[in-house]
Amino acid sequence: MTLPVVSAPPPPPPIRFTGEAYDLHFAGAPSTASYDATWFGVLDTLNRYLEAAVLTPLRTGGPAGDLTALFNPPALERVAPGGADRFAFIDENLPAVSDLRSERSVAGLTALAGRDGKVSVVTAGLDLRLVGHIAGSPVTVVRTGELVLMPEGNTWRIDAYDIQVVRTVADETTATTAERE
Amino acid sequence: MKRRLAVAVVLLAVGMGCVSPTGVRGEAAIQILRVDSGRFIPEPGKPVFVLVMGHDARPGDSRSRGDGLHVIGINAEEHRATILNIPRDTWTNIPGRGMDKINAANYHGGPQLQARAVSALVGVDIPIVISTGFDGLADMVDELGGINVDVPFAMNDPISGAVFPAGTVRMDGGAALAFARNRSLSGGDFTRTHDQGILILAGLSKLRDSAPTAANTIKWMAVLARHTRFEGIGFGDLYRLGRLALTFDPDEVRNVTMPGTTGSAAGQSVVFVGGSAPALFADFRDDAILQRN
Repeated sequence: MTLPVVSAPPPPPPIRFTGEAYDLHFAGAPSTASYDATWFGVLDTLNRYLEAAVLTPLRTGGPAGDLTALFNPPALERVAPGGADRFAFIDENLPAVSDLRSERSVAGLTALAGRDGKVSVVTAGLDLRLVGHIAGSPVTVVRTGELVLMPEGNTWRIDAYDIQVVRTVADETTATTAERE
Repeated sequence: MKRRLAVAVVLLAVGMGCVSPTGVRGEAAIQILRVDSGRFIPEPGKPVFVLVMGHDARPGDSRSRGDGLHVIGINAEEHRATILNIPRDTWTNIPGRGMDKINAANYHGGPQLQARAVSALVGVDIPIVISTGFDGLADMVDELGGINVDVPFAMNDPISGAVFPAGTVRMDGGAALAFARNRSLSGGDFTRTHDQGILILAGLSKLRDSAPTAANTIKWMAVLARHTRFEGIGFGDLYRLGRLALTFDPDEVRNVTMPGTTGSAAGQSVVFVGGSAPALFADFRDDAILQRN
């Protein structure tokens, strides 16, 4: 007896930021000493932010994950529950989104290294476009803008930002912006 | 993007207004230092005060006077700021040394003591000093591609080279230097220090007009850093300082000079703090905005 073959659909591709460009400026002699570490470190922070603040709440319809290590304290206050900029950074308060996938998720980095070659400030230009469905209706979440990241130990943390998010559920669109100089 | 050049206070002030009348273009460029220790993290709702100083170091000098003294008070929440110009000959108490001209503080104790002397006079906490000589001014104006300066009255001073009509004048680094050094003025040092404040405003306007993104900010910071020696301050601090500077609109900046009277003390020609100065300082220090002056 031959059992019927059932093929599972392929898993959706992971949603992650990929680096689109990397522009490194030097106060002193050019060096590649911290080039790779900065690149991977910043992208790691961006992707942890993406997972905790965007993908987790969108997929579950529940709260965001822990953001503590991703923002410097003054910025963290503004994205904490009740904070002025939480809605711009975190995709809570929507029902769970099915078929969530990315149409675009790139970050362009611009970094400044001191005379010692260590990078101490990075800006990340984000372009993130997610699509999915809520109860059969199409959903689009587009987040664009710039983040400014600074190192804290071995971690890059978001220190400042100028970000916009446009959420469209069915035909209803909401746009939110947040800025911290 | 509203986040414009992070270098704002730094470039504009460093590059523009702070030159003395007696020096020459020499070896000194720009120095940015922390007066206190720790990170520079402005407290929300609190004004920030930065001392911008032009010194008169000649090539080979190890010590110099603080001959252009400007306290920039920034109120980020109100998007406003004030430039308070201090005449260099102001007769005041220099901490640990007694009465002297205020510009002697830099000679005796460098920018740290200069900041303390200005702090003591005005009554504000100054966490950061930006200091430059003549190279710093001219180089940075040229890096900016020139600036448009609102010349308040016609100038014709062949000594400094300040020969300008009244009105808006496009200046390169050399012209800006001449404008800042011109002492053939009615009002002497009072007018000259006020003119330096005008240069600071011109630099700010230029930076804001370029409307760069945060990424452009980084590029400007790299340019600045190549001209600058940093002490106790990192690029993160510098970025925060620049962000602060870009919170205000040049049209919302007051440029005021400490009132005073000329006289002599200890055999020197000096400026005595005017009777209305304490009220001006009090008005300045609470929120960096002048409501009553």
